[in-house]
Amino acid sequence: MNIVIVGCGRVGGRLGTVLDAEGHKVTVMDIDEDSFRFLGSGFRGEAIIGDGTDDDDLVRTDIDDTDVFIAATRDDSCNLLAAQKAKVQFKVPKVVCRVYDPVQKDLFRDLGVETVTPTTVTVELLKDAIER
Amino acid sequence: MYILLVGGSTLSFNLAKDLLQRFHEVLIVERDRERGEELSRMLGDVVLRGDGCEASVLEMAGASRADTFIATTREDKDNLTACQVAKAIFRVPRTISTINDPRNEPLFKKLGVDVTISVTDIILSNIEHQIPERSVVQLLEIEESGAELVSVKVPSDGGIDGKRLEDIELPEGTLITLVIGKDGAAQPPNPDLVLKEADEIIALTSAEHKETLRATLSGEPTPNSDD
Repeated sequence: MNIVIVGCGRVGGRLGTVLDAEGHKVTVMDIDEDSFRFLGSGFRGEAIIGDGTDDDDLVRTDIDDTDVFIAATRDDSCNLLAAQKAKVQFKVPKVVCRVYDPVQKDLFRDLGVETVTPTTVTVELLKDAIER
Repeated sequence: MYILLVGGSTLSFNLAKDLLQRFHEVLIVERDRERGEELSRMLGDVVLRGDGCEASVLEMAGASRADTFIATTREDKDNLTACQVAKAIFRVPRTISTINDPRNEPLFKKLGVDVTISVTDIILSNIEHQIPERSVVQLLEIEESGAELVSVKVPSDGGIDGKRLEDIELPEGTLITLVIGKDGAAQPPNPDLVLKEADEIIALTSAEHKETLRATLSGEPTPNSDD
């Protein structure tokens, strides 16, 4: 599969490395060149400096030929705009968006954008750990 | 009316000042503490410090009883998120967003922002007004139909100077509604009206035919013309 990941922090970088190792064609985009250090040394995909909410920069990731788009920056608004662009404007079949504010999770279900909320997930894990 | 403003820009400050003078209830949500305090000093107790993209902050701001919601931050992404949260969670009837990157406008409309104001486009169109030759200036966009009211000046070296209105082949769906002479006198678009250099033509057209209209009125060959 062709996969685009916007935001190459700890999460985006690691995810990109894992998906690349599984044999997918991975393109990672981040505004900050330094963040590409989070990619594993064996990463064979493409790392592009750019703004994942900018039309021209998104086109540079070959978004028209992408199967999966993942918005994983630290900024909710940035993820939400990038993900909605990918879904509505560029018609990427599968779009996943990282959203910290749990309230916003429900907003995007109707649009066909899947959301992952680290806040909720972490709370659940911590609760499980305490109760175990 | 209760009007909620997100972002304490200069634009937002001036809007708030005007709206308060008209006896509307106004609240500005501003993320930056210093800017928030500065706005409070100038406008009074109408500033809430917080992130206008966050539902919890908008709840504190009383978004559910807001009649109008206006996002004017420098970041398109924040304006979109704030408007979407206001609309979907707090059911604000009218959301308005300024847009910095004009290419974002159609997407914002599609995603449910009621009114979009493209700041860059407005400035560009004002600049175009100052460049008299060969430009079509958009005066008004009619939201429902996608039609545009535009203004075109008759150029001196184009093909239409001295032509009768009925002899000009207009693109499909385009209607000349008014011709304003150099002296400012408005004339109805009678078929036998003769166009003169520097006449201003006010026409109703669509975004897709705007370029053809510009070419026609400038006397350039159009892609669809038969000759």
